[in-house]
Amino acid sequence: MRRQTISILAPAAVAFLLGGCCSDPTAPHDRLPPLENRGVAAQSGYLAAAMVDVAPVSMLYDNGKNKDKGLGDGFDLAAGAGDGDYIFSFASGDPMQGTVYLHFRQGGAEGTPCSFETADWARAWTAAGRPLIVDLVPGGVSWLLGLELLSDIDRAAGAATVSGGGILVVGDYTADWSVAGLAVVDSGNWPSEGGLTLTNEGITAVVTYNGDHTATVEVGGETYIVDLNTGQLNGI
Amino acid sequence: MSRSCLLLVIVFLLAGAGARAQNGNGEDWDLESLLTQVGREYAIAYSAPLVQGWGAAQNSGFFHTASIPRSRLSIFLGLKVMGTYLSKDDQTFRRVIRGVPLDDYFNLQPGDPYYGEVGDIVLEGPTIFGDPDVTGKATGYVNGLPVYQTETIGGLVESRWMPLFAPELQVGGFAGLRATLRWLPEFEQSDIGKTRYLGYGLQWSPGFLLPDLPVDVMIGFFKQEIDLGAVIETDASSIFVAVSRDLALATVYAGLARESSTMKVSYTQADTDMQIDFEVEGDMGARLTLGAALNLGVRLNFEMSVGKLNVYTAGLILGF
Repeated sequence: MRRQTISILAPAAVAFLLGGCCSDPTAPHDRLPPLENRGVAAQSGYLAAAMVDVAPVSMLYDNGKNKDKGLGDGFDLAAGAGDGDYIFSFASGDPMQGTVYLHFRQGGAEGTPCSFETADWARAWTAAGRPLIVDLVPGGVSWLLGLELLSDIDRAAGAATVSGGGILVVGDYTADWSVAGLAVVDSGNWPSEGGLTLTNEGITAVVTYNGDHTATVEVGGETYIVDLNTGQLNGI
Repeated sequence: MSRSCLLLVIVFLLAGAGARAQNGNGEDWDLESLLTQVGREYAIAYSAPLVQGWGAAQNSGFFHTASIPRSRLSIFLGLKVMGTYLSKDDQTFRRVIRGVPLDDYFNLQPGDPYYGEVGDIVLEGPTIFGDPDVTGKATGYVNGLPVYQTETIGGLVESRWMPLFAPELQVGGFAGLRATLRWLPEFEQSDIGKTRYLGYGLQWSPGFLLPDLPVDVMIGFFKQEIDLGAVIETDASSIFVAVSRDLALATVYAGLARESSTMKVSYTQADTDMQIDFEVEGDMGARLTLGAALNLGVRLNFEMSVGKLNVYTAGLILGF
């Protein structure tokens, strides 16, 4: 009887060992189309345009007064002024939708929390899982922008220097980006200097703001000019 | 309808095309109505696990012993239940189509952004066996930028099993031959038309010529057709060699098979009114089968077939 049991179980054991428990996949799982330099340049161009609106948010936040630059007037004061915590929601109809969380300090990053009016340092960020929704590209496919920006604010000069980074979800691709030394002002002018880098699928684009409505994009030895009004590239 | 009930519907009605699912919004879907919302390329990728799993399941369970009497009537009436156990990866798919006009996929008109431009199309989402509450999408890329995106369809049944059943009659005992018939009477399904199932095959055991062999040996073939209305037509065929050895209450058996299968799918795309037809060949070309049958008055058999896909078969067999 024991021999018979072994004889019956042996085929099942052998089959299990041979086949494991799973079949080979039959549905296609194609790789995404490989990105090329121009594709990453185009992505960085739109990000550069979006950054013109997003980067000054700490400086422009003024509890309700519309400072333009596309930010609209969707301010929303969430907490008492003393703890330095605020939230900002982009206005309906803005190419960006979502909420940016703000924390203001006086005395730099190690200073004390304060109201936005007296701050000389600010952190702006999007909550985990709640990126900004960006609609800049014609055709209507939204991008997702997660960010954390640190700003040194010069209230007297009406200017700030912004650094930070985050992720940009472009369709099926997810890019890392960072911004450094981005000089923004509250008067509605274009960023006067600074730049950002965006890396997607191993290709890195470097964007340098030109102080006007353009920025220069360099990727893999190719150079493009982006119009910051639209985010679109012009080859040079 | 609960998912388990739905699975039973699939098993017992062979209603791959008629099977209905309900998503989280309470919407009922059947395969044909889902397919009519997508184009050919999407449908091929979406239905790949069904096509492949179906063919592998069809070509299963042809024998439970290699012993065929030379000149004694032998009749078996059985019910075989086969299940192809699919890879977890078969619940989703991604199909990339490179360098095609976007107009063909997003119905662009002159004046629309990117009209006339060539780009890449990424089709992705749940397969037929994926999550019914997740909607797939088609995204058009130009120069790495997603410029158009449309929602497509969700899964039909969330499962890793592609089940099938087969009523089977085997009659043998003449010169070591045994004939096998799988058959269901034609029946009408209101939304897809007539469903029919016919399979036939022949097995031969040279045991009476080689009486000293320690095991019984058998060779055979089997051909099948299953049509689910005008939507799905399937063909499958297999040639095989098997050995078995009788023990006191059981028979252990093994087999090797070469096989093929095809599935033709036809439907009309809803928004374009275009007739979509495609035919897919099964990937499973060969298999090793190992199994055992217990003889307890009725015979119960269980086997596993190993190939590109793994198929489990259980049978309840009456006869002598």
